[in-house]
Amino acid sequence: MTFQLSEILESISFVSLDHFDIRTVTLGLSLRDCSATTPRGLANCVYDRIMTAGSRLIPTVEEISARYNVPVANKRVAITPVSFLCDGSQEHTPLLLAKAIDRAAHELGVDFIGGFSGLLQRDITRGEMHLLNSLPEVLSQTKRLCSSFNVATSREGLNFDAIKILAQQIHEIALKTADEDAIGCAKLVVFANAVEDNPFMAGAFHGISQGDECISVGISGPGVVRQVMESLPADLPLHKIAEEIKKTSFKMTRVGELFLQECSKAMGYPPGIIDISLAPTPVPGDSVGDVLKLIGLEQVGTHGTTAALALLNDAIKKGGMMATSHVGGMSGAFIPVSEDAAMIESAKNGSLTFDKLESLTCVCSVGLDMVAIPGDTPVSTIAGILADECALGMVNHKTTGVRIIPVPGKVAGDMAYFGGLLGEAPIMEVHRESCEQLFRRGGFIPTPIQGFRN
Amino acid sequence: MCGLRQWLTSTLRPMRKVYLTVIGRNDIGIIANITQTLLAYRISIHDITQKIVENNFVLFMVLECQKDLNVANLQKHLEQSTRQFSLKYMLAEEELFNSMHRI
Repeated sequence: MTFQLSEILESISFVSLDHFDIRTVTLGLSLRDCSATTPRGLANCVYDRIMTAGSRLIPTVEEISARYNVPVANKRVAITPVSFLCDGSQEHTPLLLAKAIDRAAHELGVDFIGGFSGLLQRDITRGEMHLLNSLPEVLSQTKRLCSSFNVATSREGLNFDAIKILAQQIHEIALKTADEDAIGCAKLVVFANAVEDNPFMAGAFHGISQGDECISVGISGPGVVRQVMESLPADLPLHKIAEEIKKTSFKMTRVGELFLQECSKAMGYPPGIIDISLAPTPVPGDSVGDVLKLIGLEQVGTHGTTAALALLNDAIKKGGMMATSHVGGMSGAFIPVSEDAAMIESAKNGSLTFDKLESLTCVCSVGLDMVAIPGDTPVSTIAGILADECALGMVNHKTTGVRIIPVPGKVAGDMAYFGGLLGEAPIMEVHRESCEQLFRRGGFIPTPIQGFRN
Repeated sequence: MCGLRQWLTSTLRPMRKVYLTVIGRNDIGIIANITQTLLAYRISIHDITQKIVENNFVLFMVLECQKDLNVANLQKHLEQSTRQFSLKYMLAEEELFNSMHRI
C-alpha cells in the first residue's frame, strides 16, 4: 500500500471521530458590473448575477465532498460591498437589494450570503447612509443575508461617527428581532482593518480589488487539535505543544488546499484564499476552549488564558502557511462565545468575564464574537464596546471585529438561544459606568502613529 | 479478439485509486458481500489488508476505479449489500491521503 495503515486511520479519524470539516466553500462574486436606471432594475440585475454565477456551487461542492468523504459544513457567497451599488441610489434601494440578494441565496440553497457592507473608516457617503438606515428593516426581514461595516484602519484612523450610528442600529435591530433573542445582531459585524477575502460569516464580502469571481475555502477542526493535545504527556513543554499543533494544522490545511483546487477547477473560477481557522461549533468536543484547557487551564478566562491562546493562534498559522500558497482571510483561532461549549461554560460560571474576553481578542483571529449582553445596555455603552475593540485593531495592525447582541428583556446570567451553528450564549455583564460624554462628542480618532510607515 | 479489445479499452480508460476502509463487528461473509458489489461495479482490487482486533473487523482496500465512478453511489450500495452486519464505511480518493501525508 502506498500509505501506512496508521496514515489512513489518522485521516479517517480526523473526519469521523474529531469533527474535522471544511467549514465553508465561499464563492466570491463581484457585482461591479451590475447597473440599472431604477432601483427595481438594479435589484433584478444583482439577483440574476448571483443566480447565474452561483448555480453550480452546491452540486459541485457536494460532489467533491463525497469523493473525499470530508463534509463541507457551509456553502456561502460573498459579494462586493453593497454600499458601492447604493451611491446615487434612493432611500428604499438598499431594502430592495437586500430582499433580492436574500431570495437568490435561498433559491441557490446557500447557507449565508455576505456583503451587505460598507467601508466607513474615513467618512460616510449618502448612499452608505441609506444602507445604514436600512439595517433594522433588512436584518429583521431577511434570513441569510449578512452585513459588515469597516469603521477603522491603521492607515485611516477610527470613524467614531460611524460607530455611533452602528451602535444605535444594533440597538434597533435587537428590538426588531426581540422574539428571536435579537438574532438579527448575529448577522452584523463591525470591523477594524477588515480583510477583503474573508470567507467566514457574518463578515464576508468580496473586496473591491478582487476579480469577477473566485473560490475560497475556510477550514476548521478544533476537535482534531483537541485529540492531538489529549494524546500528549501532561509535562510536555509549551514549545513542543506548538510543534504538534503546527503539524496538525498543516494536515488540515492540505485538505483545504485540495478542496480549493478541486472546487476552483470544477467551477471554472480562480482560487481565492484558504482561511486557516479553528472555528468551533456547539457540538461537544468541537471547542477551541477545550484546547485551551488542555494546554493547562482549569477554566477558560483564568490567568494564563491569553498566553495559551497566543500559542495556539500562532501555531495554527505557522502550520498552515507551508501547506498552501493561498493563505488569507482571518486565519487563526476563533473564540465566539455562543458557538463554543467550553466558552459558554466559563462565561456561565463567571471565570470568563467581558474584560478578559476583550484582552483575548488581542491575540485571537478576530474579536468580540457572538457576545450576548443585557438588553438594557445603553447605546453609548455599545458604542464604547465597538470603539474599544476597533482601537485595539487600529493600533496593533490587526483585524478586530465585534458581533454583539443586546438581548431585549434579558439580564446578566440569563441565556440567549440562537439555534444551529450560532448556539446559545449566557448574557455577560458589562460595565454600568457611563461613557455617555465620549459618545456625545462624536468625530474621529486620527490615524495612529503606527499607521505612518512610509 | 472481443475479450482482448474489451480488456484494452478498460485498461486505457482513465483510472483512479479509491481507498476503502471498513470497520465493524466481525461476522461471516463480510468480504464476500463487499467483493460481490465491487464485481458489479467492475472495480479491481489493487491491495487488501484485513485484520480482526478483539472481534472487531478492520478492512483496508485500495480500489482501482474508473475516473467517472460515483463514490457516493458505491458507498450506498456497499452499505445496502451488507446491512445485515454492523459496519462503518469510509471511501475516499487517494489524493486526500497524498495531500495530508506527502509533501
